[in-house]
Amino acid sequence: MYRKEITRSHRVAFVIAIDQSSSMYQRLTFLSRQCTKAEAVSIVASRLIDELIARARRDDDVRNYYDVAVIGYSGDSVYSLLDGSEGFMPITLLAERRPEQKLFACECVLPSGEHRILTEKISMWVPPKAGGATPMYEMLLRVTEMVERWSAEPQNRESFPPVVFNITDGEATDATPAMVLRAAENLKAVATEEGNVLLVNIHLSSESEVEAMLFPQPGEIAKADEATRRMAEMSSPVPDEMCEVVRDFRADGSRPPYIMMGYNASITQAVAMLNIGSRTLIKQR
Amino acid sequence: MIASISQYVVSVLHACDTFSTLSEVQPVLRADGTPCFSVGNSAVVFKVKCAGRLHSLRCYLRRKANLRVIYGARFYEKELLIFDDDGRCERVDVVLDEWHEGETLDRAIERHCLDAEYMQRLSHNFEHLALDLLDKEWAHGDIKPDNIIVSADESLHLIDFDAMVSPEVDLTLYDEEGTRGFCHPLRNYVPVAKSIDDYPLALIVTALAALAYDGTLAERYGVSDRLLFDAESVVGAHSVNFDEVLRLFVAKGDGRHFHIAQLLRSAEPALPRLRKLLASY
Repeated sequence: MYRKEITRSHRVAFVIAIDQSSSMYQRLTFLSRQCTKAEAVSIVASRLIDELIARARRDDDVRNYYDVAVIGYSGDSVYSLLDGSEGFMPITLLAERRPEQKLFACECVLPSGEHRILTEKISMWVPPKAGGATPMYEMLLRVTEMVERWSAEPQNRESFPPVVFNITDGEATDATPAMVLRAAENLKAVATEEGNVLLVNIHLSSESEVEAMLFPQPGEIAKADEATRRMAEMSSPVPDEMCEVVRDFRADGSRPPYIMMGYNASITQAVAMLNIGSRTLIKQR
Repeated sequence: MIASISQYVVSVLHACDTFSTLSEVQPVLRADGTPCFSVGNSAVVFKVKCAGRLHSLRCYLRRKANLRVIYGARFYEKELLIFDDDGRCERVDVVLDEWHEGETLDRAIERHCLDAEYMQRLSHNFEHLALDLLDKEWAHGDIKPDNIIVSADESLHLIDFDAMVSPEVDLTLYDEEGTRGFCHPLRNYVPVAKSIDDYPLALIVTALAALAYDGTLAERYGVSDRLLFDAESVVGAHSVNFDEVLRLFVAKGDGRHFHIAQLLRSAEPALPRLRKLLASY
């Protein structure tokens, strides 16, 4: 399980689902500047797409290793955030596009103590938006349909299962918690021959003093508040193949099992989780 | 720290601030201003200029064992600073190695598979490389088309030696798994040994010889993720592709390649007869 190499004939699907509700208008600090959560998530999601393109790159070629979908949800709508696509887009098609690029500067401190400004160009794949309620239930239903269709295609049946990242700062407003949990269970029940869909929920905090729970253990969740426990129930367990990396990431000597979620995560922690979730399991040929 | 590829790119682009000793490294840029790089499972490999010469700069995504004994003076431990979005940093290992201009073996095959003379030369050159490698005291450890560069003069060069097996390598720390499709299915279940290259060499020799006879095999059976057939489908299973290749060698009266191909059905990864069959040409 979860060992299939990624090739051009056995690709992997990534879904990045982004909460674009009004609470995402709250401000935080990211890349040495003040911005809204929506802007920060837009950068993080855009960077993940750039990352996937980079990972598929071999010399001047981009190999068709990934199918990518970016879904936004706000108000009463669930919608694709990739122009010209309602579902998955092959990474090779994304690589041909030239989205607007923005230059970001980050102040870094060298080991010598000197300060430096390092600049990075990021392609803005995902427009930031914040407004309306949080139709997370509808999003889960829509994503379930998408990954079911993808997993049922003959060329994908033996592939690594889809990985779904849900980035949010709140809870669903369009259904009861029980309905949302059932929808998440249905999503996680979708499978290829290599395993079940991996649902990674990342909850963002704007309060830096609140301690984050990253890849928590079941015992830690049992002591947490109700919202955290609900998110944990929605999330996939960390596959065995990934536990060592998670253990190193937590750096606290803990042992598996772990849960694929982050609660009250900072944006930087969200980036680390996305990197872990998208790279660690995925071995490319 | 699990850094993104973009953070490696940023660091290499700011070499004067981020390298401990290799601050004069300059990444070679594409027409759009982005650096030339490829990404493998354990490293980002940049094309760079250093002291006026082209080099490959392997920047590791995670710590790996044995790199110092494999690469020697080309290995720079904790050389490159990588920053996360909060400005925290970590140093990663790099290897500054020779650059081989050219294309990977699978790209060369894709472009030239219908040119029988080219494929015959390629097949011949690869067999020389294979024989040379089998005679060495070390094994590459991850033989596959992606790790073989075909230069413009059609010479072949091995790259990416992270999985090398040699007398100096500490095998208790060896965790390389090779690449499925080119390795014997039992590669990771038997003790690591110098014979680790036998199977992928035999597979590529077989595929190239078959393509030299019939380049249309490339389109029918694929040369991108695998070379005509997967190792797993040949060992202990039935492969239509492989059977066609065997019949092709019989039809051409090519007993040598027929016997090399038959080695691919071996129940074990080591193929002691391979060297003798290659040398009998």
